[in-house]
Amino acid sequence: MKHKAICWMLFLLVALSGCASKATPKPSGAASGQIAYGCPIGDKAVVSMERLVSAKVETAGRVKNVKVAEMRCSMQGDRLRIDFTLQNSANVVRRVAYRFDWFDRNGLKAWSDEVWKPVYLYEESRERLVSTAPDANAVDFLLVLVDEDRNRLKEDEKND
Amino acid sequence: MTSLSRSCRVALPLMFAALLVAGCAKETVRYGDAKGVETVTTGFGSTDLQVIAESMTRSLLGSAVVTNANRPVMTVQEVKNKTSEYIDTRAITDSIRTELQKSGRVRFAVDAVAMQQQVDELKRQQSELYEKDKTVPLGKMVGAAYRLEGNITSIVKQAGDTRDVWYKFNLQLWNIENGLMEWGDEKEIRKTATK
Repeated sequence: MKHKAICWMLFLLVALSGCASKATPKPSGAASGQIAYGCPIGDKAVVSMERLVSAKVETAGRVKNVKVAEMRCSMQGDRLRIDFTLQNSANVVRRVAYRFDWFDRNGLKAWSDEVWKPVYLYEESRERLVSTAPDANAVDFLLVLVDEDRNRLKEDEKND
Repeated sequence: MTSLSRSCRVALPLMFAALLVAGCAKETVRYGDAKGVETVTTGFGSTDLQVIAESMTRSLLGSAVVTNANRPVMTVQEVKNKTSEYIDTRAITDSIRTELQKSGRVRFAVDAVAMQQQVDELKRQQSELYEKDKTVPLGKMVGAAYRLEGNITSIVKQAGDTRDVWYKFNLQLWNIENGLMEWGDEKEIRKTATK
């Protein structure tokens, strides 16, 4: 009888410890090891180029008529290399700037802020650009775009 | 005479008030993005310096010299300013050197500009004021295996209200022992201003 009670108690203990919910950290892009088109994507479901672009590209404010049309990654030695294509769908010249935010294996910032790099885009054109990670610890990234014509466009909108 | 003095009576206080307002007009100061795109003039600016430094650093870090060697020792030599404007080329090479150093892939030997300070400190430590075993010995400095040098050129064109400036920054890495150029890259920048 005594043994039966002890057995039940042990069973309950084991069952309860199994149920105890542990806060499992979400894997970051690089740590989880998932890759789409060569780029680290973390736990995001990326089944198309559009999904990859929406996962890896952000804009600082509105960027009208300019988007990242394509993006692919590869390794250059031990550093991540990113090829991406900017597309201007407007029938006027557009100026934008871009920079990469780099993250390490734990999803923390891996490098100091990059300079905003200005890009000149001809009317209804595509421009293919390449960037390389600053060092081997920068294993994940976010591409950020900003509109360098924003003041001119605002003035145009006012005048219209 | 009367009409002149009457107009003066009206104009003088107005002028005084205008001067007062102009004198009191406060300049607005705001912090901005130190890495933001600067397009105040066509002159060489912060964005140009930062874009050049970043581009050159990334390119050099991907070169065979850096990837194959075990932390090669380099030194920075002069970047010649061949433009018609004043450019602090030392600021460009300092940025490049800092970025390369941060990567941990490259080491830098003391360059010609900082040599005097290095020698002065070495000599100072040899004086009888210091304990012998707590000073650095002479003859232990490491010479660089590679030297970085380059130049910046520009072409400026102006017609009517349009001013066009084209910059080209060129950087090379030379092997000091055998005189071979091991790496080289350049960055072009075009800026146009219209009134």
